[in-house]
Amino acid sequence: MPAYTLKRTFVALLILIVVSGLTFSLSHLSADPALTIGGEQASEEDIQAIRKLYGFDRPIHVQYLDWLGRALSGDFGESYHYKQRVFDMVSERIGRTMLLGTLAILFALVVSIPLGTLAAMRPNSITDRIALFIAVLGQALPTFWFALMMIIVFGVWWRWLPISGHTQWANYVMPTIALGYYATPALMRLTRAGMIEVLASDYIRTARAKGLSPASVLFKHALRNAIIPVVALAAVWFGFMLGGSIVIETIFNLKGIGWLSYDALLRSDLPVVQAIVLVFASFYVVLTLLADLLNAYLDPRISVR
Amino acid sequence: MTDNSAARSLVFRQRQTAEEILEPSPWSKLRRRILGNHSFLIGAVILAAIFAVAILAPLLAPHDPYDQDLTKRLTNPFWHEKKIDAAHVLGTDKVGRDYLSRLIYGSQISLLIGFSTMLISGVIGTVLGVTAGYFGGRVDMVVNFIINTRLAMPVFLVAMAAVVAFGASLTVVILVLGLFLWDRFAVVMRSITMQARDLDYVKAARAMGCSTPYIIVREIFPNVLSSLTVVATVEMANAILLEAALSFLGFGVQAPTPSWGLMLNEGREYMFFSPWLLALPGVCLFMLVLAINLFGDGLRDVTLERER
Repeated sequence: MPAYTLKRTFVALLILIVVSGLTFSLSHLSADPALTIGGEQASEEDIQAIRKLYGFDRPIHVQYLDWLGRALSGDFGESYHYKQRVFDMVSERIGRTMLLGTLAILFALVVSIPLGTLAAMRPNSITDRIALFIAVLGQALPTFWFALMMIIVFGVWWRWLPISGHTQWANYVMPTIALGYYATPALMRLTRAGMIEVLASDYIRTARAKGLSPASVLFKHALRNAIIPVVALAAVWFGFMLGGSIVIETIFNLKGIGWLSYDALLRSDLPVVQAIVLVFASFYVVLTLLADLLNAYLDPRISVR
Repeated sequence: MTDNSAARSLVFRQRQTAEEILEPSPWSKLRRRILGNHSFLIGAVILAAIFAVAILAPLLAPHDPYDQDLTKRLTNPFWHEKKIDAAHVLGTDKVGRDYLSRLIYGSQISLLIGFSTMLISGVIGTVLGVTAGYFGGRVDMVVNFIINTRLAMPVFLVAMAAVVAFGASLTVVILVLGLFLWDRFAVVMRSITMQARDLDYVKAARAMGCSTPYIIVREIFPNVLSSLTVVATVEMANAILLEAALSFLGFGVQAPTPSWGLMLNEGREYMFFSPWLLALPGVCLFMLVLAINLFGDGLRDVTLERER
């Protein structure tokens, strides 16, 4: 197990280095950052001076190693546009994105687990078909369009909810639903499949034969076991949701790091984009690493393979 | 003696025919499964309709989708009472272009993006997945690392960055999405190839000394084909939604191309007074993605020979 943990952690770190290296070269090879910083009025000499000052005249791998070395000590450089430290810009806003992501995944779980359980109680019944139908419709609904429709109905026509900002709790209602509903079909299907399997198992039959109430059998015995893979999938979805937050935060003007990355891309503010790619990638890598290690802990055969 | 054997062969023949009648041919079984599968049928019908619209766009569209008429800006669709124009059934956009025509031509863009992305990512993912699954060991380790690296990249953000870097155009969007969306192909192909590799007839082919390319193409590939098509539908829907989202944020297909995502972007500033500018392209996107998903779900049920 310790050897396995070490190996997986090493691979995770290697993945982060490759991901950041790829994004670094992608953004630096194509666009000339000196032109972005100098602006349209800059003369050829200004551009040359900027190149020297920021070190853009060095080979790309030297620039990358330099960036990586600083990034490891928490220094992600300075924003070309706002002239602020990128670390401060990101840490100031990351809380909002985390809050939105957490609320969204909770919303998805709260909707999908009861629906999935209800569907599994009577497979192929009317309830089951309706639940599956909702799942199929939900999967085809473009997230950003759903968000826009909610804004029109709840924000503009009925004026129930604010349509932009991040200061009150009400600001989070529509973004949470818009970001969260997309995960519900997958989570619901998994709950349903898990429950159908568990409900057919021997220990459930024993529990029923003992004369336990149907509710106790369902919630205490069945759901507890069926829910484990659902929670694991939810963790992976949490990683995806941070990526999805770019569109949602932009639409609702909720200024988390998703919005920040959009803003930075509009201004070709590379250091900011670099840092946010690394944040998103780290989240995914850490979540999968934890899931892998947990799996190996629960099933020791995995770490020997 | 001869009579007896003739009679026996007659009985034998009769029994055979009886069995043949009881046991439907594979084709009629397949047909029955397809007709019994509502989601496959509904998906196929909607998909065929959208295909027809895309191909027949020049015949179906009442106007040129690029034709501007500033005297007829933002006319309302037919269900409104005021400010409607008989020539523009679904109204016009902010520069007076016929909305119905733009929606019709938009189907071409979405289908083009969906298919080209699916082809590019399908080839990359299948090659990686089949190679890793067939050879295993070190090759598998390397491919697994590549897959995990790709999964760790935030697709949407990196796609936006790539569009900024290489300039926004239809080709760039297709290439970027194609080079990013192969992960599911690779993961699925890898695990199915691993199972297929240990099948008896594949082992037999190896024992007979067949070459590796021959085994992969003739023995392994037919096994992965049905899963491949199912993954392909999922990725096609995914690519269409991503293109729409990219174009919506202004990092995708550029004006004046009639892309549904771009139309949503252009209609956004009029959402208070002309919400149909946003509603209609979204409904089109929804119908297309729904049809592809239903088709894919149905295809999985039909090809996996699940008895209903």
